[in-house]
Amino acid sequence: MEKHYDKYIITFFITATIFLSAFYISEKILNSKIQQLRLLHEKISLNILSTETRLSFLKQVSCSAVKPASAQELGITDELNRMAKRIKLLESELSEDDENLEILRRKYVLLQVKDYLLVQELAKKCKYNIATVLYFYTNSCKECKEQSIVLDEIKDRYRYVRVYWIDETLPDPTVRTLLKLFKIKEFPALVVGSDVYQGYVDYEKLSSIIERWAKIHNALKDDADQEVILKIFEQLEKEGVKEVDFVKYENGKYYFKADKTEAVFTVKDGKLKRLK
Amino acid sequence: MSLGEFLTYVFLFALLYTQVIFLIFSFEFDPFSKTNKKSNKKLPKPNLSLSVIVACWNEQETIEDTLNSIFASDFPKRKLKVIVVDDGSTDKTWLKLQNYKKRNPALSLLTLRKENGGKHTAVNLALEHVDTDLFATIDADTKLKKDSLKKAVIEFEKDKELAALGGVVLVKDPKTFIQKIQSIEYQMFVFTKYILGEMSGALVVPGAFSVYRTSVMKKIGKFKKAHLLEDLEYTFRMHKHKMKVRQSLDAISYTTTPATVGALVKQRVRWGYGLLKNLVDYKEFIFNRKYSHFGVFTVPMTLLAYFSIPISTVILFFSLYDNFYRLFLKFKVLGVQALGGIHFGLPEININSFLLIMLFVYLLVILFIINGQRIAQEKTYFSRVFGFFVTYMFLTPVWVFKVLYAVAVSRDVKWR
Repeated sequence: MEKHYDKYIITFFITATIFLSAFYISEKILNSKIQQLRLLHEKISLNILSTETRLSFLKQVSCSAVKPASAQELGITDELNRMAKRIKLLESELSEDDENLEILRRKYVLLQVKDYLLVQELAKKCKYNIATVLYFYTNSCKECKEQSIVLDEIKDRYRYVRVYWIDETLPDPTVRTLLKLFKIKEFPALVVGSDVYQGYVDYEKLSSIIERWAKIHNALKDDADQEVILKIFEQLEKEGVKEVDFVKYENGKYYFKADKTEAVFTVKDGKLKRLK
Repeated sequence: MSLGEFLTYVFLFALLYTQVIFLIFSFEFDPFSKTNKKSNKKLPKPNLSLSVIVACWNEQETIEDTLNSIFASDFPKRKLKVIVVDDGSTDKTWLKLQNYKKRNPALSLLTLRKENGGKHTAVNLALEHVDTDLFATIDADTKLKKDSLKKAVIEFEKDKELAALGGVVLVKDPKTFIQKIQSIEYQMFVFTKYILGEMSGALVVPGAFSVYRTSVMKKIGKFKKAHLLEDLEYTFRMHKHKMKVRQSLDAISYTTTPATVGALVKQRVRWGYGLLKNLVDYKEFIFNRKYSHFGVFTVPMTLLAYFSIPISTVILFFSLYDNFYRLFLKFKVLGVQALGGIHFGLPEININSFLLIMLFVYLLVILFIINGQRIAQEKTYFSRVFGFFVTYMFLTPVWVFKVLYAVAVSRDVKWR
């Protein structure tokens, strides 16, 4: 019987070819992913530049001319979310210290911070209602993975919420500045509006924080004073009311719903006064 | 590259290599040209005589079926002798045998009874009464196709050097899910075992249905206990004596397979334990060119294949780990609410080289399954193929772990 030992060598070459092809294909896929990320980055930069430019006209024109028609126009949202997703996927494929990844992550954080500042400015000058959540995390922190899922869920549930993902370990001075600004020492940490929460915040709690924020800020549409509404909220909550809802602002009167009963407030000589 | 990654690549390379070997040799020993040629031609009458040995222990349910299928064979009756050994059954097997004999007095049927001593002792007792040119062993829960004996015996007439021929073993009417997925596994073996046999590297001539030349027994002796895998050890011994062992393509039998997960695991623990223990006894085979493809390919490949499914399960799990872990966390964080958030559609899976190579290996395995189905002329059920892959992915690690434990503490497993 023939021995056919030559087949072992043929098989070796065929196997090696399949192996190398697999490496080649996965490398190609990875490269195209990085390429797509670069493109996304360009797109976001362009959108931010556009918003910045319009903002510099603020002194000359009214808010309505500057305010973005939709949240999408403001740079971020979909694109930044997509960029975040891609970076997360790449993180598991490339080694932590890959140069490409490092640069992309820094760019991503800077874009986010820039967008954050823009939204803040728009909110102040034009009463632009977007809830900003700065989220500080590290890859080594155990609860951060769970916090990330909570935030993903929150972001999907509330369209007016914008989450900014900031990796605390990134070697970028901007990140240090933010950490100092909000005095953050513990991770995960959240900054919702201007309130700082250090440590894990679960889904239920974060939802109620966001909803409360929204109730207060919806009032802004009617030229009501945000500070006053906040005070009324705090006062009613102190009184033990469980469900506080802002209804409307009319002729200097603030109408509230407190556990199904109506509460009306007004401001006289800088002091809060309950009418009903 | 870390050590773990390097080892993973070495493993994947070896795994892919063994699959490609089967592919390359299948071009050399094309199984399809043979089956087609044979089916068109009427079989000649065999001249060699044959004893069929059935060893049984508590087989009252299946023994009559098995005997019926043997006597219904188109093998010439005057050249056929059947020897049934009752290995100390505690049920009505012996009674059923006597009744069968009374009802069919014309048949050449010898029934023997002994104290329980294990399958190999039962077969050995029957061997003392063999005076034919060939003998076959058939399990008491196995049925033969009508032309199987004839087809097997003709191989011995065509090939004077042939010492033993493994029969094709398929699953007898698969009913439960576990039996259905086993039918896929057995179909795959039809193809791979044939290729190994033609390479003169058959791993095992299965005890469920095989035919041997009686002269073999005179040269190498009878069956041994061999860690309860007497058929494997016997094949090993034949290889050691450089005897020619091949695998049939068309001598088909149908065997009863475990119906439940527990029974399957028990059976596989027995097989795995016997395999590893016998390999330790015959470790000289490993990569030994003296034993041709059997030493160079079959034995190392079998060892690799034995551990390949648990290892691939681990690799697959780790390459998809992020996806799994995220899903797990989502449930932990959100509870039932997570269900609403699961987006149906293609998830963004990391395509890496591990996955691509595994995919290729799986494709080759599917090709082998389809080849086996075509050779055995069985129907193709893709749902069963899928069930086979998924179930074995999780079940195999269970029995491999149990076998390793049993080998480590060197504790003999139970036969049944």
